[in-house]
Amino acid sequence: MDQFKCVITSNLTENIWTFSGPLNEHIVIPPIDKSKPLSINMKKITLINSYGIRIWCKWIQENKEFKDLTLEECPFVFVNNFSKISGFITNLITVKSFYVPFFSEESQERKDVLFHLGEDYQINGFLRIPDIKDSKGEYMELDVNPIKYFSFLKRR
Amino acid sequence: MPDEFDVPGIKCLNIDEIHPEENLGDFIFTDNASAQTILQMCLNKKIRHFVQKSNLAHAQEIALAQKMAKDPDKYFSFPLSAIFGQENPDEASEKKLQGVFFDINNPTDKFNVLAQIENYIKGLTKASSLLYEVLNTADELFTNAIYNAPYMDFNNENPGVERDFRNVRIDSSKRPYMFVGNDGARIVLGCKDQFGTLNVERLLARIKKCYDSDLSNVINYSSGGAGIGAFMIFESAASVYIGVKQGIQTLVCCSFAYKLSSASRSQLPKNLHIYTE
Repeated sequence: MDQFKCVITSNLTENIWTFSGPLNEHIVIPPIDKSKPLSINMKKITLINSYGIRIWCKWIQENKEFKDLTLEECPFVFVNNFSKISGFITNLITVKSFYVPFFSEESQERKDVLFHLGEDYQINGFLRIPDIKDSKGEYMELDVNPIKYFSFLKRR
Repeated sequence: MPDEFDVPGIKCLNIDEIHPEENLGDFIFTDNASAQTILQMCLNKKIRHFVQKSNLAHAQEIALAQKMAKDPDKYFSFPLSAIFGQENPDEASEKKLQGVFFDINNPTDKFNVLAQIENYIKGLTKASSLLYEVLNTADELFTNAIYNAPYMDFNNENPGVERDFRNVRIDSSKRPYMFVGNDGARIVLGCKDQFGTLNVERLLARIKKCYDSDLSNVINYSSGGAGIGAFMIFESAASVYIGVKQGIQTLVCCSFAYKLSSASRSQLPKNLHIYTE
Protein backbone atom coordinates (compact mmCIF):
# COMPACT_ATOMS: atom_id res chain seq x y z
CA MET A 1 0.00 0.00 0.00
CA ASP A 2 1.37 3.42 -1.02
CA GLN A 3 2.04 6.27 1.36
CA PHE A 4 0.20 9.59 1.27
CA LYS A 5 1.28 12.16 -1.30
CA CYS A 6 0.07 15.67 -2.05
CA VAL A 7 1.12 16.91 -5.49
CA ILE A 8 0.78 20.69 -5.79
CA THR A 9 0.31 22.48 -9.11
CA SER A 10 -1.32 25.74 -10.10
CA ASN A 11 -2.62 27.65 -13.10
CA LEU A 12 -3.64 31.26 -13.57
CA THR A 13 -6.92 30.89 -11.76
CA GLU A 14 -6.45 28.25 -9.05
CA ASN A 15 -4.14 26.07 -7.02
CA ILE A 16 -4.62 22.35 -7.54
CA TRP A 17 -3.67 19.68 -5.05
CA THR A 18 -3.84 16.00 -5.89
CA PHE A 19 -3.99 13.65 -2.91
CA SER A 20 -3.09 9.99 -3.16
CA GLY A 21 -2.63 7.11 -0.71
CA PRO A 22 -4.04 6.69 2.79
CA LEU A 23 -5.03 9.57 5.08
CA ASN A 24 -3.53 8.35 8.33
CA GLU A 25 -1.27 9.33 11.23
CA HIS A 26 1.67 10.01 8.91
CA ILE A 27 0.14 12.71 6.74
CA VAL A 28 0.90 16.40 6.73
CA ILE A 29 -1.62 18.58 4.90
CA PRO A 30 0.08 21.73 3.59
CA PRO A 31 -1.08 25.24 4.51
CA ILE A 32 -3.39 26.91 1.99
CA ASP A 33 -2.15 29.74 -0.25
CA LYS A 34 -5.27 31.86 0.18
CA SER A 35 -4.48 34.19 -2.73
CA LYS A 36 -6.24 31.81 -5.15
CA PRO A 37 -9.07 29.27 -5.02
CA LEU A 38 -7.96 25.75 -4.12
CA SER A 39 -9.18 22.57 -5.77
CA ILE A 40 -8.27 19.23 -4.19
CA ASN A 41 -8.58 16.07 -6.25
CA MET A 42 -9.30 13.15 -3.92
CA LYS A 43 -9.65 10.34 -6.45
CA LYS A 44 -6.60 8.39 -5.32
CA ILE A 45 -7.27 8.48 -1.57
CA THR A 46 -7.26 4.84 -0.57
CA LEU A 47 -8.15 4.81 3.14
CA ILE A 48 -8.93 7.12 6.04
CA ASN A 49 -8.30 5.84 9.53
CA SER A 50 -9.41 7.50 12.77
CA TYR A 51 -6.22 9.53 13.06
CA GLY A 52 -6.52 10.64 9.43
CA ILE A 53 -10.04 11.83 10.23
CA ARG A 54 -8.67 13.80 13.17
CA ILE A 55 -5.97 15.47 11.03
CA TRP A 56 -8.44 16.28 8.26
CA CYS A 57 -11.04 17.73 10.68
CA LYS A 58 -8.37 19.83 12.38
CA TRP A 59 -7.18 21.17 9.03
CA ILE A 60 -10.76 21.97 7.99
CA GLN A 61 -11.33 23.73 11.30
CA GLU A 62 -8.17 25.79 10.89
CA ASN A 63 -9.30 26.87 7.41
CA LYS A 64 -13.01 27.23 8.07
CA GLU A 65 -13.09 30.87 6.85
CA PHE A 66 -11.62 30.00 3.46
CA LYS A 67 -14.46 30.18 0.94
CA ASP A 68 -12.81 28.94 -2.23
CA LEU A 69 -12.18 25.29 -1.49
CA THR A 70 -13.46 22.71 -3.97
CA LEU A 71 -13.23 18.93 -3.63
CA GLU A 72 -13.24 16.81 -6.76
CA GLU A 73 -13.66 13.10 -7.46
CA CYS A 74 -14.18 12.25 -3.80
CA PRO A 75 -14.07 8.45 -3.39
CA PHE A 76 -16.36 6.34 -1.23
CA VAL A 77 -13.88 6.26 1.66
CA PHE A 78 -13.99 10.01 1.85
CA VAL A 79 -17.71 10.65 1.22
CA ASN A 80 -18.61 7.98 3.76
CA ASN A 81 -17.40 10.31 6.50
CA PHE A 82 -19.49 13.31 5.37
CA SER A 83 -22.60 11.97 7.06
CA LYS A 84 -20.82 10.55 10.11
CA ILE A 85 -18.84 13.57 11.23
CA SER A 86 -20.31 17.05 11.19
CA GLY A 87 -16.92 18.80 11.02
CA PHE A 88 -15.64 16.73 8.12
CA ILE A 89 -16.80 19.30 5.55
CA THR A 90 -18.29 22.74 5.99
CA ASN A 91 -20.95 24.61 4.07
CA LEU A 92 -18.26 26.73 2.44
CA ILE A 93 -16.70 23.72 0.70
CA THR A 94 -18.00 22.81 -2.74
CA VAL A 95 -18.08 19.11 -3.59
CA LYS A 96 -17.76 19.27 -7.36
CA SER A 97 -17.87 15.53 -7.97
CA PHE A 98 -17.92 12.31 -5.97
CA TYR A 99 -18.00 8.57 -6.58
CA VAL A 100 -20.99 6.39 -5.90
CA PRO A 101 -20.36 2.63 -5.78
CA PHE A 102 -22.81 0.23 -7.42
CA PHE A 103 -22.75 -3.51 -6.82
CA SER A 104 -24.50 -6.62 -8.04
CA GLU A 105 -24.88 -9.38 -5.45
CA GLU A 106 -25.78 -11.71 -8.33
CA SER A 107 -22.71 -11.16 -10.52
CA GLN A 108 -20.51 -9.76 -7.71
CA GLU A 109 -19.57 -6.94 -10.11
CA ARG A 110 -18.87 -3.41 -8.92
CA LYS A 111 -18.79 -0.02 -10.61
CA ASP A 112 -17.80 3.33 -9.15
CA VAL A 113 -19.84 6.01 -10.92
CA LEU A 114 -18.74 9.65 -10.79
CA PHE A 115 -21.58 12.05 -9.94
CA HIS A 116 -21.11 15.66 -11.12
CA LEU A 117 -22.46 18.81 -9.48
CA GLY A 118 -25.06 20.42 -11.73
CA GLU A 119 -25.68 17.23 -13.67
CA ASP A 120 -26.34 14.42 -11.20
CA TYR A 121 -26.93 16.47 -8.07
CA GLN A 122 -27.41 20.02 -6.84
CA ILE A 123 -26.15 21.65 -3.67
CA ASN A 124 -29.77 21.99 -2.48
CA GLY A 125 -30.14 18.21 -2.27
CA PHE A 126 -31.55 17.32 -5.71
CA LEU A 127 -30.15 13.95 -6.77
CA ARG A 128 -30.63 11.88 -9.92
CA ILE A 129 -29.48 8.28 -9.57
CA PRO A 130 -28.79 6.74 -12.98
CA ASP A 131 -29.60 3.18 -13.98
CA ILE A 132 -26.36 1.23 -13.93
CA LYS A 133 -26.09 -2.22 -15.48
CA ASP A 134 -23.51 -4.96 -15.05
CA SER A 135 -21.72 -6.78 -17.89
CA LYS A 136 -24.77 -9.03 -18.38
CA GLY A 137 -27.12 -6.08 -18.72
CA GLU A 138 -28.67 -6.56 -15.27
CA TYR A 139 -29.39 -3.58 -13.06
CA MET A 140 -26.91 -2.98 -10.28
CA GLU A 141 -27.86 -1.64 -6.86
CA LEU A 142 -26.31 1.18 -4.91
CA ASP A 143 -23.52 -0.19 -2.73
CA VAL A 144 -24.22 2.40 -0.05
CA ASN A 145 -27.02 3.22 2.30
CA PRO A 146 -28.50 6.15 0.30
CA ILE A 147 -30.04 7.88 3.32
CA LYS A 148 -26.66 8.13 5.00
CA TYR A 149 -24.40 8.48 1.98
CA PHE A 150 -26.22 11.37 0.31
CA SER A 151 -27.29 13.10 3.51
CA PHE A 152 -24.52 15.70 3.16
CA LEU A 153 -26.38 17.17 0.18
CA LYS A 154 -29.44 18.01 2.26
CA ARG A 155 -27.42 19.37 5.14
CA ARG A 156 -25.88 22.04 2.97
CA MET B 1 -40.37 -11.63 15.65
CA PRO B 2 -40.01 -15.42 15.47
CA ASP B 3 -39.76 -16.78 19.01
CA GLU B 4 -37.22 -19.52 18.27
CA PHE B 5 -33.87 -19.76 16.59
CA ASP B 6 -33.47 -22.91 14.53
CA VAL B 7 -31.22 -24.14 17.31
CA PRO B 8 -32.99 -26.43 19.79
CA GLY B 9 -33.61 -24.87 23.17
CA ILE B 10 -32.69 -21.33 22.14
CA LYS B 11 -35.49 -18.81 22.51
CA CYS B 12 -35.49 -15.48 20.73
CA LEU B 13 -36.23 -12.76 23.31
CA ASN B 14 -38.09 -9.62 22.38
CA ILE B 15 -35.73 -6.92 23.58
CA ASP B 16 -38.58 -4.46 24.22
CA GLU B 17 -40.26 -6.84 26.65
CA ILE B 18 -37.27 -7.37 28.91
CA HIS B 19 -37.91 -5.94 32.36
CA PRO B 20 -35.16 -3.51 33.44
CA GLU B 21 -34.60 -5.48 36.65
CA GLU B 22 -34.59 -8.88 34.99
CA ASN B 23 -31.41 -10.90 35.42
CA LEU B 24 -30.55 -12.25 32.00
CA GLY B 25 -27.28 -13.97 32.78
CA ASP B 26 -24.48 -13.76 30.24
CA PHE B 27 -26.44 -14.43 27.06
CA ILE B 28 -29.08 -12.65 25.02
CA PHE B 29 -30.54 -14.23 21.90
CA THR B 30 -32.74 -11.70 20.19
CA ASP B 31 -33.24 -9.79 16.94
CA ASN B 32 -33.17 -6.28 15.52
CA ALA B 33 -31.58 -4.67 18.57
CA SER B 34 -29.69 -1.51 17.68
CA ALA B 35 -25.99 -1.00 18.29
CA GLN B 36 -26.81 1.40 21.14
CA THR B 37 -29.09 -1.17 22.80
CA ILE B 38 -26.41 -3.85 22.60
CA LEU B 39 -23.81 -1.57 24.14
CA GLN B 40 -26.17 -0.37 26.84
CA MET B 41 -27.16 -3.90 27.85
CA CYS B 42 -23.57 -5.13 27.82
CA LEU B 43 -22.58 -2.20 30.01
CA ASN B 44 -25.55 -2.13 32.38
CA LYS B 45 -26.54 -5.78 32.55
CA LYS B 46 -23.10 -7.25 31.96
CA ILE B 47 -24.33 -9.33 29.02
CA ARG B 48 -21.32 -11.14 27.50
CA HIS B 49 -22.87 -12.66 24.38
CA PHE B 50 -25.41 -10.81 22.28
CA VAL B 51 -26.56 -12.92 19.31
CA GLN B 52 -29.19 -11.74 16.83
CA LYS B 53 -31.26 -13.95 14.59
CA SER B 54 -31.06 -11.81 11.45
CA ASN B 55 -27.29 -11.65 11.57
CA LEU B 56 -25.46 -14.31 9.56
CA ALA B 57 -24.75 -17.85 10.73
CA HIS B 58 -26.61 -17.57 14.01
CA ALA B 59 -26.22 -21.29 14.80
CA GLN B 60 -22.43 -20.88 14.69
CA GLU B 61 -22.71 -17.65 16.68
CA ILE B 62 -24.70 -19.39 19.41
CA ALA B 63 -22.20 -22.25 19.45
CA LEU B 64 -19.36 -19.75 19.70
CA ALA B 65 -21.05 -17.98 22.63
CA GLN B 66 -21.28 -21.29 24.45
CA LYS B 67 -17.71 -22.21 23.52
CA MET B 68 -16.29 -18.86 24.67
CA ALA B 69 -18.06 -19.23 28.00
CA LYS B 70 -17.13 -22.88 28.64
CA ASP B 71 -13.81 -23.32 26.87
CA PRO B 72 -12.41 -19.86 26.11
CA ASP B 73 -8.98 -21.20 25.19
CA LYS B 74 -10.48 -22.60 22.00
CA TYR B 75 -11.30 -19.03 20.99
CA PHE B 76 -7.90 -17.70 22.02
CA SER B 77 -5.96 -20.52 20.34
CA PHE B 78 -8.07 -21.22 17.25
CA PRO B 79 -10.23 -18.15 16.66
CA LEU B 80 -11.17 -18.75 13.02
CA SER B 81 -12.18 -22.35 13.71
CA ALA B 82 -14.17 -21.30 16.77
CA ILE B 83 -15.98 -18.47 14.98
CA PHE B 84 -16.67 -20.50 11.86
CA GLY B 85 -18.30 -23.20 13.94
CA GLN B 86 -15.82 -26.08 13.87
CA GLU B 87 -16.91 -28.56 16.48
CA ASN B 88 -13.38 -29.26 17.72
CA PRO B 89 -11.17 -26.35 16.79
CA ASP B 90 -7.52 -27.35 16.52
CA GLU B 91 -4.36 -26.36 14.76
CA ALA B 92 -5.22 -28.23 11.58
CA SER B 93 -8.68 -26.66 11.25
CA GLU B 94 -7.23 -23.25 12.01
CA LYS B 95 -4.54 -23.53 9.33
CA LYS B 96 -7.11 -24.59 6.77
CA LEU B 97 -9.17 -21.46 7.42
CA GLN B 98 -6.32 -18.94 7.50
CA GLY B 99 -6.21 -16.88 4.32
CA VAL B 100 -3.34 -14.63 5.36
CA PHE B 101 -1.57 -14.18 8.67
CA PHE B 102 1.28 -12.08 10.01
CA ASP B 103 3.54 -11.82 13.00
CA ILE B 104 4.17 -8.10 13.30
CA ASN B 105 7.86 -7.37 13.81
CA ASN B 106 7.97 -3.69 13.08
CA PRO B 107 5.51 -0.79 13.07
CA THR B 108 6.26 -0.23 9.37
CA ASP B 109 4.89 -3.72 8.64
CA LYS B 110 1.54 -1.97 8.51
CA PHE B 111 1.87 -1.14 4.82
CA ASN B 112 2.66 -4.73 3.91
CA VAL B 113 -0.07 -6.16 6.15
CA LEU B 114 -2.72 -3.88 4.65
CA ALA B 115 -1.52 -4.62 1.11
CA GLN B 116 -1.76 -8.36 1.67
CA ILE B 117 -5.20 -8.10 3.26
CA GLU B 118 -6.29 -5.94 0.33
CA ASN B 119 -5.16 -8.61 -2.16
CA TYR B 120 -6.91 -11.32 -0.17
CA ILE B 121 -10.20 -9.40 0.01
CA LYS B 122 -10.05 -8.47 -3.68
CA GLY B 123 -9.86 -12.18 -4.44
CA LEU B 124 -13.15 -12.71 -2.60
CA THR B 125 -15.28 -9.70 -3.48
CA LYS B 126 -15.35 -6.69 -5.75
CA ALA B 127 -17.51 -4.64 -3.38
CA SER B 128 -15.41 -1.54 -2.79
CA SER B 129 -17.34 -0.50 0.30
CA LEU B 130 -16.55 -3.80 2.01
CA LEU B 131 -12.88 -3.68 1.02
CA TYR B 132 -12.53 -0.27 2.67
CA GLU B 133 -14.40 -1.39 5.79
CA VAL B 134 -12.13 -4.41 6.24
CA LEU B 135 -8.97 -2.41 5.53
CA ASN B 136 -9.98 0.37 7.89
CA THR B 137 -10.69 -2.18 10.60
CA ALA B 138 -7.31 -3.84 9.98
CA ASP B 139 -5.62 -0.45 10.21
CA GLU B 140 -7.34 0.34 13.52
CA LEU B 141 -6.58 -3.09 15.03
CA PHE B 142 -2.94 -2.82 13.97
CA THR B 143 -2.68 0.69 15.38
CA ASN B 144 -4.20 -0.40 18.67
CA ALA B 145 -1.85 -3.37 18.96
CA ILE B 146 1.32 -1.32 18.53
CA TYR B 147 0.48 2.14 19.93
CA ASN B 148 -1.99 1.30 22.72
CA ALA B 149 -1.75 -2.26 24.04
CA PRO B 150 1.90 -2.18 25.20
CA TYR B 151 1.58 1.23 26.87
CA MET B 152 -1.81 1.07 28.61
CA ASP B 153 -2.59 0.34 32.22
CA PHE B 154 -5.66 -1.80 32.95
CA ASN B 155 -7.87 1.26 33.39
CA ASN B 156 -7.00 2.52 29.89
CA GLU B 157 -6.96 6.08 31.16
CA ASN B 158 -4.23 7.32 28.84
CA PRO B 159 -4.80 7.43 25.07
CA GLY B 160 -1.63 5.50 24.10
CA VAL B 161 1.58 6.93 22.68
CA GLU B 162 1.80 9.46 19.87
CA ARG B 163 1.17 7.88 16.49
CA ASP B 164 4.70 7.88 15.12
CA PHE B 165 6.69 4.77 14.16
CA ARG B 166 9.70 6.19 16.01
CA ASN B 167 7.83 6.10 19.34
CA VAL B 168 7.32 2.36 19.40
CA ARG B 169 9.47 -0.72 19.54
CA ILE B 170 8.06 -4.21 19.25
CA ASP B 171 9.40 -6.70 21.78
CA SER B 172 10.24 -9.83 19.76
CA SER B 173 8.76 -12.04 22.49
CA LYS B 174 5.47 -10.11 22.41
CA ARG B 175 4.78 -9.63 18.73
CA PRO B 176 1.18 -8.87 17.75
CA TYR B 177 -0.40 -11.32 15.35
CA MET B 178 -3.01 -10.60 12.67
CA PHE B 179 -4.97 -12.97 10.49
CA VAL B 180 -7.85 -13.14 8.02
CA GLY B 181 -9.99 -16.04 6.86
CA ASN B 182 -13.38 -16.75 5.32
CA ASP B 183 -16.04 -19.46 5.31
CA GLY B 184 -17.75 -18.61 2.04
CA ALA B 185 -20.13 -16.06 3.57
CA ARG B 186 -18.15 -14.27 6.26
CA ILE B 187 -14.70 -12.75 6.34
CA VAL B 188 -13.12 -12.77 9.79
CA LEU B 189 -10.26 -10.47 10.61
CA GLY B 190 -8.46 -10.69 13.92
CA CYS B 191 -5.58 -9.23 15.90
CA LYS B 192 -3.94 -10.66 19.00
CA ASP B 193 -1.54 -8.86 21.31
CA GLN B 194 0.43 -10.29 24.23
CA PHE B 195 -0.41 -7.59 26.78
CA GLY B 196 -4.06 -8.07 27.77
CA THR B 197 -4.48 -4.42 28.72
CA LEU B 198 -7.78 -3.73 26.98
CA ASN B 199 -10.45 -2.52 29.43
CA VAL B 200 -13.64 -3.80 27.82
CA GLU B 201 -16.09 -1.76 29.89
CA ARG B 202 -14.25 1.41 29.05
CA LEU B 203 -14.09 0.45 25.39
CA LEU B 204 -17.85 -0.19 25.21
CA ALA B 205 -18.57 3.08 27.00
CA ARG B 206 -16.36 4.90 24.51
CA ILE B 207 -18.13 3.33 21.52
CA LYS B 208 -21.52 4.13 23.04
CA LYS B 209 -20.48 7.73 23.52
CA CYS B 210 -19.69 7.90 19.80
CA TYR B 211 -23.21 6.69 18.96
CA ASP B 212 -24.82 9.03 21.46
CA SER B 213 -22.93 12.20 20.47
CA ASP B 214 -21.81 14.04 17.37
CA LEU B 215 -18.56 12.27 16.45
CA SER B 216 -16.79 15.55 15.89
CA ASN B 217 -17.24 16.28 19.61
CA VAL B 218 -15.79 12.92 20.63
CA ILE B 219 -12.55 13.12 18.65
CA ASN B 220 -9.54 13.48 20.91
CA TYR B 221 -7.32 16.33 19.65
CA SER B 222 -4.70 16.04 22.38
CA SER B 223 -1.94 13.44 22.62
CA GLY B 224 -2.48 9.79 21.68
CA GLY B 225 -5.15 8.38 19.37
CA ALA B 226 -8.24 10.03 17.94
CA GLY B 227 -10.51 7.96 20.20
CA ILE B 228 -12.97 6.93 17.48
CA GLY B 229 -11.18 3.86 16.12
CA ALA B 230 -13.16 1.38 18.21
CA PHE B 231 -16.40 2.99 17.06
CA MET B 232 -15.30 2.69 13.43
CA ILE B 233 -14.57 -1.00 13.95
CA PHE B 234 -17.90 -1.67 15.68
CA GLU B 235 -19.81 0.29 13.05
CA SER B 236 -18.23 -1.62 10.15
CA ALA B 237 -18.35 -5.19 11.44
CA ALA B 238 -21.36 -7.51 11.50
CA SER B 239 -20.04 -9.23 14.63
CA VAL B 240 -17.33 -8.29 17.09
CA TYR B 241 -15.55 -10.81 19.33
CA ILE B 242 -13.47 -9.50 22.23
CA GLY B 243 -11.34 -11.72 24.43
CA VAL B 244 -9.08 -10.40 27.17
CA LYS B 245 -6.89 -12.35 29.57
CA GLN B 246 -5.69 -9.53 31.74
CA GLY B 247 -1.95 -9.04 31.55
CA ILE B 248 -1.60 -11.96 29.13
CA GLN B 249 -3.36 -11.33 25.83
CA THR B 250 -6.13 -9.52 24.00
CA LEU B 251 -7.76 -11.03 20.93
CA VAL B 252 -10.25 -8.94 18.96
CA CYS B 253 -11.91 -10.39 15.87
CA CYS B 254 -14.52 -8.92 13.53
CA SER B 255 -16.68 -10.60 10.94
CA PHE B 256 -18.01 -9.09 7.73
CA ALA B 257 -20.74 -10.39 5.45
CA TYR B 258 -18.96 -10.29 2.15
CA LYS B 259 -21.60 -11.38 -0.32
CA LEU B 260 -24.09 -8.69 0.59
CA SER B 261 -24.35 -5.14 -0.69
CA SER B 262 -23.50 -2.31 1.65
CA ALA B 263 -27.18 -1.46 2.08
CA SER B 264 -27.94 -5.07 3.09
CA ARG B 265 -24.95 -5.14 5.42
CA SER B 266 -26.02 -1.95 7.13
CA GLN B 267 -29.39 -3.59 7.95
CA LEU B 268 -27.80 -6.54 9.77
CA PRO B 269 -28.26 -6.33 13.54
CA LYS B 270 -24.90 -6.79 15.22
CA ASN B 271 -23.57 -9.57 17.41
CA LEU B 272 -21.16 -8.94 20.24
CA HIS B 273 -19.17 -11.54 22.18
CA ILE B 274 -17.06 -10.71 25.21
CA TYR B 275 -14.81 -12.85 27.36
CA THR B 276 -12.62 -11.45 30.14
CA GLU B 277 -10.60 -13.04 32.92
